[in-house]
Order: sequence, then C-alpha cells, then structure tokens
Amino acid sequence: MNLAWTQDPNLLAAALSAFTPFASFALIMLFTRSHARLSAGISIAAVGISLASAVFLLVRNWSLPAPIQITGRWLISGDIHIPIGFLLDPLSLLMLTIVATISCLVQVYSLAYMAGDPGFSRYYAFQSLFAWAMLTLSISPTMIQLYIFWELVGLASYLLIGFWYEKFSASEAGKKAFVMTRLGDIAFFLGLLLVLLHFGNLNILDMNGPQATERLSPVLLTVSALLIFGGVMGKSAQFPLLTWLPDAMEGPTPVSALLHSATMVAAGVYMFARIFPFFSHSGNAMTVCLSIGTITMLLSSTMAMVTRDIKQVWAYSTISQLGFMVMGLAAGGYAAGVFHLTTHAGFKALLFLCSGVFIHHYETNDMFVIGRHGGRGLLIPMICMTLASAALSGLPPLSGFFSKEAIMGVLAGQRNPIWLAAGLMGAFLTAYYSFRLIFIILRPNLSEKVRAETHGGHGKGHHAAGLYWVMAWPLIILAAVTLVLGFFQGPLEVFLSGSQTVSESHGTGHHAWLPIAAVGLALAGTGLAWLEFGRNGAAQVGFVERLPALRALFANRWYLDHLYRRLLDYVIYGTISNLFTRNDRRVIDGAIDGMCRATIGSGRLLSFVQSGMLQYNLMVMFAALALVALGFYFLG
Amino acid sequence: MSMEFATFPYLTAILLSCIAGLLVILFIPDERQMLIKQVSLVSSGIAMVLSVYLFFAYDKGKGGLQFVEKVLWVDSLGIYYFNAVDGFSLPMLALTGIVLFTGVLTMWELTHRVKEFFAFTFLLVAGVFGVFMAMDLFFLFVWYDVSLFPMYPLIAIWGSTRKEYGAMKLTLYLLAGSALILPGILYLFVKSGLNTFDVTALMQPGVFTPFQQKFAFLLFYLGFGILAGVWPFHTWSPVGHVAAPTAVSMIHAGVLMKLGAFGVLRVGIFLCPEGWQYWSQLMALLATCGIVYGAFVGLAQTDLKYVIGYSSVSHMGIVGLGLATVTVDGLNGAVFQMFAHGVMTALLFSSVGYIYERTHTKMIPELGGLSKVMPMASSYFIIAALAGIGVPCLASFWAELLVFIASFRVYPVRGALAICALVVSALFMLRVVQRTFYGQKNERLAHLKDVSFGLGIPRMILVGVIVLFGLFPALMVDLVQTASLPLIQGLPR
Amino acid sequence: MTWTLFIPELYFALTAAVFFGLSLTAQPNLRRDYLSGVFLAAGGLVVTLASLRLEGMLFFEAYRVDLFSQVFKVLVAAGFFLVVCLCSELTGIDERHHSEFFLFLTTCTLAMMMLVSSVELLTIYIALELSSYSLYVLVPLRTGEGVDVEAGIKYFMVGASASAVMLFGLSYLFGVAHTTYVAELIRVLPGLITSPAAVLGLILTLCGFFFKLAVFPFHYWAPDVYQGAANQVTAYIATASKVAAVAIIMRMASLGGDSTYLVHALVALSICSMTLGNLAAIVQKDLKRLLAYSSISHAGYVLIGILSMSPTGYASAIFYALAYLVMNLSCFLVVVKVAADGSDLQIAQLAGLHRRSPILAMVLMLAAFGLAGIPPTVGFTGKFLVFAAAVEKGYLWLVIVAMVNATISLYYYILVVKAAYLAEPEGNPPRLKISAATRVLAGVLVTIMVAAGIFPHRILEVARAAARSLM
Repeated sequence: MNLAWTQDPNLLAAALSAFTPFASFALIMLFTRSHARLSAGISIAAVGISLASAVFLLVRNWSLPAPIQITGRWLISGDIHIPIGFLLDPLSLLMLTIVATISCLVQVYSLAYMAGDPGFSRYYAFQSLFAWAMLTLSISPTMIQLYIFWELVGLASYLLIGFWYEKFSASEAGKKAFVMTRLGDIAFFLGLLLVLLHFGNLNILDMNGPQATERLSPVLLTVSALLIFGGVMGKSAQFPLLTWLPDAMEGPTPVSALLHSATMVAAGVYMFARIFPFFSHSGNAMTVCLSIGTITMLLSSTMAMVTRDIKQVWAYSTISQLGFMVMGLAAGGYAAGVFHLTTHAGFKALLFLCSGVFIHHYETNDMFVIGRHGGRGLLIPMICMTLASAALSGLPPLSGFFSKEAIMGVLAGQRNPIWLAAGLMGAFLTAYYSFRLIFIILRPNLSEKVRAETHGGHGKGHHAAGLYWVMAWPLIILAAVTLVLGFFQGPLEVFLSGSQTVSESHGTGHHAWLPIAAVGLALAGTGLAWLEFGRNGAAQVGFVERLPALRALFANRWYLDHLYRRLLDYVIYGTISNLFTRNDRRVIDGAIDGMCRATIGSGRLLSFVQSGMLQYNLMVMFAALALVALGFYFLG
Repeated sequence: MSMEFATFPYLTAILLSCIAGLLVILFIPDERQMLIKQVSLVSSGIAMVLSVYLFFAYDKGKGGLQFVEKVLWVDSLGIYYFNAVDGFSLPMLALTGIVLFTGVLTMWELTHRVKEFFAFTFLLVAGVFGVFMAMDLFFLFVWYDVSLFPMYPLIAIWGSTRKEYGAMKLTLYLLAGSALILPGILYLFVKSGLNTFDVTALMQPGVFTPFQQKFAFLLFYLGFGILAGVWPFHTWSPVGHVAAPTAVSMIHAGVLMKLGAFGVLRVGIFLCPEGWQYWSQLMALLATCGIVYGAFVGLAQTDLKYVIGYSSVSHMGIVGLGLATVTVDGLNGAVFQMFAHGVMTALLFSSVGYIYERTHTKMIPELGGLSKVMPMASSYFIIAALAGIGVPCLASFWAELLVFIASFRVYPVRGALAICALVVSALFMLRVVQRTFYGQKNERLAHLKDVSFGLGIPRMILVGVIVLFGLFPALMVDLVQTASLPLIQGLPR
Repeated sequence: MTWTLFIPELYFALTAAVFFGLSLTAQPNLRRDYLSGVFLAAGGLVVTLASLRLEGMLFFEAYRVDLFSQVFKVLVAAGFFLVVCLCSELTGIDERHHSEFFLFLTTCTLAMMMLVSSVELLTIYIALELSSYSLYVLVPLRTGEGVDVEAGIKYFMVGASASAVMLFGLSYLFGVAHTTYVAELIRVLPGLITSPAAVLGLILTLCGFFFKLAVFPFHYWAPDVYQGAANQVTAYIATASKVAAVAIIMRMASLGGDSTYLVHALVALSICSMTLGNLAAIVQKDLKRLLAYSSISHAGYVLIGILSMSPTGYASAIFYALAYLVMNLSCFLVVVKVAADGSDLQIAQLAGLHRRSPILAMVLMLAAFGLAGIPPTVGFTGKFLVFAAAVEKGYLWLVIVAMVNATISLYYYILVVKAAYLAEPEGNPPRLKISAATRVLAGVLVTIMVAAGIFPHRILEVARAAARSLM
C-alpha cells in the first residue's frame, strides 16, 4: 500500500483531493479557531489542492479503458469486510470535479460574504468538513463507504444550516434537515443491509454487474432498490421528504449555494446514478422512482410560484430540478440525468450566489423589497442571475437547454405519455416562476413613498469594492460555465457511457418537434411572467395569487409541514413517548417501589407483634413447637 | 484456550495502583486536599497507562488469555487468584483506566470531604478492574460486589437530586442482582464436580448438561442484566445517574453498567454457551424493547441527566442485542459498543457536570444559549451527543453498524425496529442540544466562565479516544475478534 | 495427666474465685476490677490457645476435649476478653456491682466452655443452665434512668420454658436410646432416627439451644434483653454465648445423622428466623434492638450451614461463628464508645460519627457491610462458605431465599452506615475521646474482619479439622 502512494499518481491525486480538506478541518478545529483569516486561508488552500488534483484526474483519465479501483482495509469483522478506497470512473470523476469546483468558488465567495462574522473560523472548518465528506462520497468504491460519508455530509449540512445557532429558526431547520434525511437514510441503510446479506458485498462495480440479477430474486431486488431510493428521497428532498430543504435556506447563502442546491442535495441523484444499473434491473422500482420524481417536480414548482422569499424560490426550483433529474434517470436516461445534474450544479449555484449578493447588500430576502430598493443597480449579479434563470428555464443556447432537452427526449421515449406531459408542464412552470422573480427585481413598480425610502434602504449597502469583486468573480466564472457547458454535451455523454454498460435505449434525436415544444412552453412561461410582472404597470400579482385557496395551498407547501408537525406532536410526543414515560414511572418503577414499601410495612407489622405481652410470646412459642411436632407426623 | 503467563504482573500492578492509592489516601489528613488529589491523580494515571499499554501490548496473533497470573488461594475450595485478559476484557480495562483518570481530573474542584470521596472511588474502581481481569468466579464475584457497594456513599454523600433515594434504590437493586449471581456460581461450582472456580476449567465443553446451562444462564442474565440496564430492570439507572456526582456518573454509566454486560459475557456466555443460545431470543426481545423504549422515554425528559440516563438504557440495549445474536459480528459490535458508549457517556456526564456546577441546574428549560456562554463545554457535549446518535467516524457508529448488521441478519424484524429507533434517538439528542446550547445568549448565565484548559484536558482525552476509534475501528475490532471468533467457533452446533 | 485437659476450665474457675474475692472487699474500685479483668481474660485467651491441640476424655467419658471443643473455647475466651476490654468505664452498672459483673461474666464463660466440651446429656444440661443463670443475674444488673426489670423477667421466663422443653426432649432421648452419652447416641440414634420419639426428643432438646441462639420461635427475649441489658452485657450475650450455642447445636444436630425430617424442621426454622429477623429489623430505631433482630436472622444463616449435616457444612458454620463474633463485637465497640453514658444508643445518635470519630465510623461501616455479607469482609466469606455447603447438599432454593434476605438486611445496615456517614447531627457534638487502647482494639478488629475475609485459608483448615473431629 505504502509503495503505491508514491507510485500511482491516480491514487496520490485521489487521496490528496479527498484528504486535504479533512486535514484543514482538523487544523482549524484544533489550532486556528481564533485566527479567522488564517483558517480561511488554510481551508481555501486545501480545497484548491483538491480542485487541482480533481482536474488532474479528470484530464488524465478522460478516456480511461476501465474503472480504476483501489481499496485498503478499514474494518474486518467476521465475514463483514468494510474497505476504504477510491473508485475512479467517469461518473465519480465528473462529480469530484463538480464538487471541488463549486466548493472552491463558494469558499472564495464566502470570504466576502461571511466577512466579520464571529464564527468565521468555525464556518470554514465546517466547509472543509463538508468538502472532505462530499469528495470522499463521490469517489467511494463501496456503498457502505458511500453511506458513511453520506451521513457525514448530512452532519456538515446540519452544522452549516444551524450555523447562526442563536437564531431559533436556524437551529430548528438544522434539526429538521438532519432528522428528515435520517428518516430516509434508515430506509437506505436497511436496503443496503438487505443487499449485503443476500448479495454478499456492497461493492459498487459488483452491484452494477450482472451478478445482481443472478443472486437476488426480483422481489428482493425491487424491495432493496426501493429502500435504497428512500435515501435519495431524504437527501435529494424528494416527495414526501421535501420540506426540509426550503427551511434549510436559514443557513448562510453560500452554504445554500453549495450544499442545498449544487452538490449535497445532488448526492441523492448521484447515488441513484452511481448504482443506476442496479436500479434498472427492477422495472417496478424505476416506475415508482419516476412517479416520485414527477410528483416532486410539479409540487415544488407550484410552491415556487407564490413565495416572496428569493432564496425560497431557488430552493423550490432546486427540489423540482432534482425531481426532474430523478425522472430522467428513472426513465432510463443515465447520461441525460447526470448531464442535467452537472449543468444544474453550475447555474443553480450561480443563482444562489447572485441572490446572495442581493441579500448581503439589502439585508432582506424579500424580492419585492429588493426590487424597490433598485436591485437591478447591481449589474453583474443582475445579469448573471437573468442568464442563470434563462438556463434554468431551458432557453437556448444555455447549458440548461441541452440538459433539459436530453431528459425530455428520454421521457418522450416512455410508453406512457403522461411523463412527457408532466415534464413539459414543469418546463412551463419553471420558466414562469424564475422570470417572475427576475421581472419583480428588474422592473419594480415604484410608488412615491417607496422611492422615498430607497435612499434609506441603501444605507448599509456600501461595501469595500474589493469585497464586492471577491463576490463577483465566482459569479462571472460560473456564468461563463453556464454559457459554454451546453456545447460539451456530446463529449460528456461519450465520456460517461464509455465505461458504463448502459443501453441508452432512448436517443434524444428522433423527436424533432420536442425541442420546439419545450422551448415554446418555456417562452410561454416567460411571456406570462412578463404579462403579470414585467410590462409597465403590471399588477405584479400572479394568476395563482388571485385564487386565495390555491395560494394558501402552495404557500403552505401543500400543508405537508402541518401534517408532519401534527404527526410528531400527537403521535410521537403525545402518544408513544408520553405513554412509555408514564409506564416507566408508574408501572415499572412503581412496582419496584411498591415491593420495597410492602417489605418495610411487613417489618413494621412484625416488630409490632414482637413487642406483645410475654404470655402471648410464650403461647406462640409452644404453638410453633406443636406445629413442628404435628408436622412430623404428617411429613416425617 | 491458550495461555501466556505474564513476565511482569501487570494486572496485579493495576489493582495495586488503585489499592495503594486508597491506602495512602486513608492515611493523609483530611485537610491536605491538594495532596490527596495529587495522589489520586498519580495512581489513576498509573492505572490508565498500564491498562492502555496492555491494550496495545496484547499479542493479537496468539490470542487467547495473556498476562496470566495464577496463584492457588484456597485449595480446599479450588479458589485461585487468577487474573488474565483476552480480547473482551482488554477494551474494558482500557476504558476503566481512561474513565477513572478523566474522572479524577473532572473532580479536581471538589472540596467537600475530598478524602473519603477519592477513597471510595478507588475502592470502587479496584473492584471494576478486578472483575474485568478475574478468571476465577470467586474473585470475580468478590470484585463485583466490591465495585457495587461504594456507590451508596458516593451518591448519597456527594450526589444532588433525591440523592438518598437514588443511592438506596441503586445499591439495593444491584445487590439484589448479585443475590441471583452467587447461587448461580455456587450451582455451577457444585454441578461441575471439579471443585474449582477456575473459569478456564469450567468452560470446557461437556462440563455442564444443557439443562444446567440453561438454568444457570438465566440466573446470570437476570443478575448481571440488572446492572447492564436490561429492560425492564433499568429504572435504577436514570435515577442513579441523576443523583450521582459528575465523576461517579462517569464511572457508573461509563464503566459500571459495562460490568453487567461483561458479567453476562464472561460468566453467562463463557460457562453456559448452550444456555446463551437457548435464551438468545429472549435477550434479543428485551434488548430491542430497551433500545426503542429508552429512545422514546428520553424524548420526554427535561432533565439533562435523565436524558443521558435513558440514552444509556437505549445504548446498552444495543449491547444486549449484539450479545443476543450469537455471532462474531454481534459480539464484536457489543464489546465495541460497551467501550464506545463508556467513553461517550463519560464525556456527556463530564460536560453536564461542568454545566451543572456552574449554572446549578440541569433542567433544559432553564438553560439555553449556552454555546455563547461556554463554547468549549457546549462543543464537548455536542460531540458526545453526535457520537451518541451514531454519526460516522465517531466510535459508537462502528459498534452500532456491526450490531445492526448482525442483528438484522439473525432477527430481521427486531433488528429493523432497533435501526428505526435511530431516528428517535437522533431527534431527542438534537432536541436537547438545541434547547440547551443554541438560541439567544442566556443573560442570566452570561457571567459564567468556560471550561479552563486544565479542566478541558480530561474532556479532550475523551474526545480524542472517540475520534481515534471512529477513524481506526480496526484497532478495536481486530482485538475483540481474537476472543469472539474462538468463542463462536467453539459453540456446539 | 488427664487433668491438664481441664486447664482452661480450671483457669476460669480461679478467675471467678478472684472476682469473688474482689466482690467481698468493702469499697468498689472500678480501675482495679477492670485491669484485673483484662489481664485475667487475656491470660484465659492465652491458656485456651495453648490448649488448642489437647485431646482426650474426662469424667467417665462425660467430658470430651477435642479440636472442636477447643476451637470453640478459644472463640468463647476471645469473646470474653474482647467484651472485658469494653468495660473500661462500666457505666450503666452500679459501681458497687462491678466485681459481681466480672464474676458472673467469668462463670458464664466457664459454663460455656464446659458446654462445648460436654458429651453427656446431663452435663450439657447443667453447663447450659449454669451459663443461663449467670446471664439471668447479669441482665437485671443494669441501673440508670428508665430501666425496668421487664427484660430480666422475660429472659428468665422464656429461658425457663425453653429449658423445660429441653428436659422433656432429653427424657425422650434417654427413653429411646437408654443412654445419656452422646457417643452412644451417635451410635444408636441413626438406627432409631425413623422413630418419632427419637426425632421429637432431638428437636425438643435442640430447643434449649435454639433459645440461646435466639432462633425462631425462641427469639422473643432477644430484642428486649439486648435493649434492656447493659451494653457490655448485651455485647457478651450477642457474641460469646451465641458462639457456644452454635457449638452445642452442631454437636446435637450431628446426632441426627441424615434424618430428612430433622433437616426439614431446621430449614423451616432457619427460613423463619432470617425472614422474621430481617423484616423486623428494618423498622428499628434503637441500634441494640436492631442488632438483636439481625442476630435472629444470622441464627438462621448459621442453621443453613448446620443443616447441611456435612463436614463442610459444620466447618462453614464454625467459620461463620467466628465471623459473627468479630463483626458483632465491632458493632458493640461502637455502641459502647458512642453511648459513653451507658444509655441505649439510638441510630439517630450516630449522626456525624464520621467527624466525631472517623475510626469508629469505619469500624461500624465495615461491620455493617460485613453483617450484610458484602466482600471483602469476613462476613461475606462466611456466608459464601455456608451457602456453598448448602448448595452442595442441593438446597439451592434455600440459598436463594437466604440471598434475598441478605439483600433485605442490606437496607437497614445501610441505614446505619448512612446515619454514621451522612446524617448531620443537630448542634455540633464534640469529637469522641478514643483511648489508644481502643484504637488498637478497633485496628485489630478491622484487620481480622478484612484479613479473615480475604485470606480465609488457615482458619478454614482449622475449622475443617474441628468439624472432622466432631463426626
């Protein structure tokens, strides 16, 4: 093993990329907590190294014949082998690069965004922790290692969401996120156990291989696949476990950009893609996943149509896009799904970072307020955000267009047209809500009094230009990526399908009308948004908002949260926990205390009998003797 | 079972370091408190160093019993002074050493009847060490009782909430357990007809009939199980924890509860393997009940120590579940969990103890926003809590992983239930963390100081151990495996 | 020279004579009596130890000197010596009666030595009565406020009826076996043991000794006498006389061979005694009363050893007797020293003992835990041996019952420890003055309690040998 460290550049690079962030986490936690800038430096340097080695790996293995897998032993107990190591194949390399890139950009961005925060070091420590976990997750060779770092990513998310822990809502959101994802992870874990016990190991390559079908009965395959998909539901906020993600926006915006849009929540989809062949063995499971993805996509886009909170919009759209990816994968479009994951990571991070600038500048999440205070004044963010929204709504020639088309194509290949319909519907809604936001900020209807207060509104905004540019550069880079990435679709798909032996049954080619339809719908959505929010003197009230009931329904997330709250309060706390506690006090403990009290009572009784008159004592004495004597005749 | 006689009596040295500490302290006048503390620090330090050294010095290749010391004590009864360690007892020894040392450090600020406190503590810990290393039933039982009765004064004198009730309940309950153990031991002693209390002799296959094994195992399971907090015999533990002073809670929840599980393992399972197999169904059932039950009851608690107490019930349930699987993985997991839970709970209690000494309350509603006031103390607690809910790369994750895999294999339904309880435990731990440490800075507590460096040392040690074994679980599992593998292979099929 | 066998008894007879002489002198002298008492008692201990290995028969085979009897003589003498050591200031007994006190103490000891050696029924009866009557005199000797003669009366009444029953039993034995020699009986009885008369006679005879040992149902005197008698007298009754009773019960029980019925009766009595004693002890406020009840329960434990009817059983019983002697004396050391004015000691009065006299507190704690059977004290080892013997005979359930009882008893022993270590006294009572001699005594007792608990080997060997010589 030690030899290999020096000899194999792949191993070295992989180890570097995964390990350096952990080193920086440890360093910051142990030593440099009090030196903010130093900690930031360490963390960024570490993630920089990771990025460099990731890119190096990607370039070096651009056309690798077969996946490289290097594992060392981590834990062996009985017949359970838990190795630790790396699996380098196109998918993992791609994910590794995405994660490293965005982490790096976000950490740079945070330099400005988090400037002056008392917990600066802590922030960067957690960032490194996340980077370590996420990078290691993406190159895991076995599902168990993936699961382990999957949990760690969840931990990092918990810590970062609740970063401003003095805010109750923040800590609450962190808790909610952890517990909800944990709910999915339990299913995930059970699924893994099923596979482990009946299949023998959790090596990803083996699970993807043909043996899976040989060793696992179809039923077992479906069950385990569905259980594992439970993990995806939790992590990627799929229906019904989707309500934690909007709340997770309580965290700092860079965190939302990194974890809760681009990378961590995509881990679910990534895991889906990771063992895609395994899933594709079971048709039923795939159908379930497809429907869940669809429901998620539609639900969340409706939610996005009514909120005023700029981050909430992107949160909902993240959910819906994740749902869209799941649809793509579940419909068999491996490359399409992964490609959309890639592009989405780019433009969604961009969107969040842009809104981060606005929020940081105006200290509000309300898009209307931002608009009134002249949000369009901030040129770079404004342009980038428009660009990204266009990409999000799948307008050519931006990256989103290509990836969405790919998925649409896959959906079109499905026997049942409803999926395609849903997809197109989604495209329409997406365009609508994203441009709704754009127009609200771009063309605010400024009444007199608002204009008066705008000057006050600018009060805080004046940053050192340096800080502004620190935040701007990542935007520009990401915007560039968004612009060009689309044209790499071909090579990427070749690269991805190179090693994976997936039958890309559904090409995107033979539906000439599809792109037009999709783009048309997107444009329609944009147009509707223009009518309601953009044009001069628009009421800036959406058609949904005109129907109070519907509005309430969407604004309250289809009352999912209320439902969960009720369940928690009445079933968990109110009933089970309450009953158990009473039982513990009254029945179990009560029995013990009762026994003791009885003992003492009998003692009191006896000692009272003792101190009787002498003659009674003598009587008892002889009575006992008589008993002994009698007993002899009967027993003896 | 292969034996390696010791070149140097390390085990006796560990015992002596405690007993010597005890005697020296007895002869120091009460008012020389600093001296007393230094003495106890030194002797506990020696104990820790020795026990940790043995942990690493044990030859995994050879396995079996090592560092054996065997002296005939009472030949008419076949009682031997017989100390030895194997893969099961070494982690426990190391745990005891660590917890003792850190416990002594955490009680550094004690001023009330210092002399007696450390005297009793060392008596207790001597007993604990003795149980973990004794391979002779007579001595095992003697040490076992020696480790129990000092709990009474320790809790009743230095304790806090309802201390006398808690202390009395705990002592009587636990010694009632040994009222089952002693008859069991004597029963086996007589039935074996070997006229010896030597475990290695009694554990030979064919010494006891299946019936004798089933009967005796039940006695041992109930007797020791009480101390292991087996549901439904667990109610002494939260009460006792709440009442006990910090270091005692640490030693008690960290080490003493393991004594019960270890007793089931060393006496019950070693001597009555068939009884073990016979009762494993029951064990699994009770363990699962404990896991689920403890988590749900913990959800409703408002006293920090009660919360930890019930989480201990839940975690010891995992140990029980591991033992119930009758598999190598289950045993590895169980022993690992004993160790991990010991360190973790010690850390929890040390943090809570610190908070309690400063704020004079353990009630969660009265706390809140502590992270602003005492960040270090809070982070120690949070780390321990995270370990408690099975976050990876912290020690207890691996233990739970192994136990769950094993139990899911043997008892799918109960295993699945236990796994689902993870959500609940996560919920209540995070809830406690949120209510206690997060939120606005608590002005009422704003004046309080954070953990000083000196008082931080023991906590850091514990955190270090948790992380070390979280990153390198093989350190532990390879060791335990040297004992669990032969045990399982030796089972009658 | 057969009379050498009789040296210990002769010595104590002389001691008695000395005290008789002292009691004739006009003005009482506490110090003189005490010192002479201590030295003579010490001498007695030495003499008995010296004559440990003697063996032989005396007085027409009516008097047997063997290891068994000698061991018990040593125990009795030791008990006597230690009790006398507690009499430095004999408060609670009228100045004028001090030398009488020592006189009767000595005669009682003498009687018990004869009791453990006599192997002829009438000799046994006479020895027993001699010891009893000395005690009948000792108990009412107590003076002080609020002391009534009830204790003395009760003791006498119960004792008298017990003796009556015993005589009745003896007559039965003589009737069936036509001999009063134990040696003969051992030969004859096993054959007759199936006949009701023999067993009944044996049981009724045992009643007399059960009275001394305060076994149910002859325990009624214990609480009142323990409380009513002067602390030192109680100490003596609780230790030396109990030991002698154990010895003679063993001798008589060994006559029964392996009569299941006798065993059943003993099992019933032992269970009754320990349960009743423990339960009643829980609620006691007066330490001496509490010790009385605990002695009743311990009588039950000893019976477990005896009813095993095996050498190991007898050996364990002997060991237990020793353990019981030491532990109880430690308790009474505390009682006598804390209640310096000779009054009855309430448990509440122990409050703050750990500050008033740490060493006494420690002695008390060790003794209490020892009586509760907690290692590493001699009390645990004794219980362990007794139970081991019982399980060997297959009385597992009896042992479980006994262990449950031990757990119950732990409760009130802990209450005592709690009073000594936790309870804060009202006001601030002064530190107790503990003379160097007392410290030494306490040290010795603690050493024996712990050492004999951890290294039972040698003592156990002697006990086994003694038990063998009994069969």
